[in-house]
Amino acid sequence: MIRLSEISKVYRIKDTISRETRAFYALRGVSLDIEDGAIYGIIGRSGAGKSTLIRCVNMLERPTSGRVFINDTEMTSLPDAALRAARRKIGMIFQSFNLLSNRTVYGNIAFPLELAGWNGPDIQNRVHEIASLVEIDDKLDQYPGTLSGGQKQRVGIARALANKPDVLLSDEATSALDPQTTKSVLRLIRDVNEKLGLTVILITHEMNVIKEICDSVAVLESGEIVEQGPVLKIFTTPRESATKELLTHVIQSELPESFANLKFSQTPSRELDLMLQISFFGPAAASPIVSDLVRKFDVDVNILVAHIDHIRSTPFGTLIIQLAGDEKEGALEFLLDMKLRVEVIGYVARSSEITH
Amino acid sequence: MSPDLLKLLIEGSLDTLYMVSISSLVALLAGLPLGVVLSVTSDEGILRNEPINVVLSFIVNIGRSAPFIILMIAIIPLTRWIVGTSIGINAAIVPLSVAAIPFVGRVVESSLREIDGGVVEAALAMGATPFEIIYKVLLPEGLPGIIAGVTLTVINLVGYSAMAGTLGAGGLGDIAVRYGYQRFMLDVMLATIVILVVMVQLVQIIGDKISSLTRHDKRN
Repeated sequence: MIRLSEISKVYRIKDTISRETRAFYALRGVSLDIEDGAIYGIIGRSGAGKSTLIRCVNMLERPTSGRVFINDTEMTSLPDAALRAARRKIGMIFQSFNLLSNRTVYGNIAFPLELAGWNGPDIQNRVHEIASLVEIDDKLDQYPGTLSGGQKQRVGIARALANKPDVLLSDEATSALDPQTTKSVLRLIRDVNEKLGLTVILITHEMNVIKEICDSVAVLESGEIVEQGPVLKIFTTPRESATKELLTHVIQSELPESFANLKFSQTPSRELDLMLQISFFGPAAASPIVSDLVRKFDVDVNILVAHIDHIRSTPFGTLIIQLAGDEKEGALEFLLDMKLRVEVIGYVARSSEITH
Repeated sequence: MSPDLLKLLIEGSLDTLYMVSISSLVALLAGLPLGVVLSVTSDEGILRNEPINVVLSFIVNIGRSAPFIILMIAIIPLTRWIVGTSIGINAAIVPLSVAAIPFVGRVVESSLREIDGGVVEAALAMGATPFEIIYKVLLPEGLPGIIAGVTLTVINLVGYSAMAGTLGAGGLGDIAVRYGYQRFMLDVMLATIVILVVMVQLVQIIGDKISSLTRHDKRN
């Protein structure tokens, strides 16, 4: 269990012109509970305080106030030597990899073991063991400068895991990688999370990363957590605008631009078509809504926007449809009865542009 | 050129090599820790300490701002106290070292400053002590830059040693002044210049080679 309790971080910034110091709050009273074995994502735009927050876990940044617990150890009160010992059990990987350029892959993976005081033969065994786990064992003699980004991050992960940590901190570990490599690195993180049972805390600005591997997510905005919970819940029912904004790249739920000029009326009308937005997740996503509508009611259904995706193995999605015909209202009630989130966008004239 | 002159030039070259190598060694031994302290006590350093940094920086700047020929005369009492005399090649090693130590210090400091802070952060995150960070991260990562800087120092010392020669230190500078300048022996003057040029070239080539052998951060 990792517990952050009311963490605040204040930087004193000296204005170079007026020479006045002012306080900048990077974090304001952040509290988080992270279960053992979880993959916990913290998402936010740049400048939201993500980097500061993750560094407060291993005290690379000391919180100005608040307390950090890892299991029963209070990190915030540890003296230097004990803090170093605690850090050896917290692996960390970075966006820019931060490998030692003048050590080979082997030397990099061996580094934390040297620091932890392992003896030579044990280091050798462990390096080979962990290198084969991350599938980098054929590159042990090479220097990081000769590796690709994905390979460097694998070395970074091997180094972070070498001393058998309980916790892995990931600081934008995939942000410098292409989508394909990102996927394989994320899969590796999920694999080690499952195989070794370690707790992963990762920060990112990409919802795709959260969607791919996280169990829970916290949304950080201006140093505060505005929303947190299981990933599925945050994705399907985001409350805060910051969350919705971060989600727009993942879930296409806005009307296409060509609809922006349409005149919507909120009063039901026989002549106008009904435009609806339907969000669904879980088992409801599997039911054939559209064909049900057409079979049961005298309506025409035109699909304008459709997006279906999976979080782990649960489908979720968004559908924007246009209903025409005499039984629009009945169809709407039918949809509302099924446990779907239905939002009436409005009534709109049937234009050739939309119905083709 | 007569055999006597040839012998003179060979002895002079050996004297110059002796002065330069000993003073380079002293400068490295003292300048390396100085540069490390300057670097780790700076604003972004792992052992930030403003008073130590300001004082050391001030001393280093004094050492670097005095022209060598003036420094050499100014520290004659120190030279006498250490070597017992202020004349000869052993005496010249003192001012040469004193001039080179702050230079090496700055060179080491700037090599260490160029190391990506993320690498140091990673080591801190792994529980490294400040001492471990210095000798397992900073020095190995900064090594190519340090070697390039030391090469520059050695070349500077070749030049300084010729200057020291004019003040009774011996070596090629002494020969160039006494034979080439005062006795108008143009061949001796040219010969000392050629030897100095060859020396500097060799030092540079060897330094570049070692520096690139220790550099692994680029694809090659």
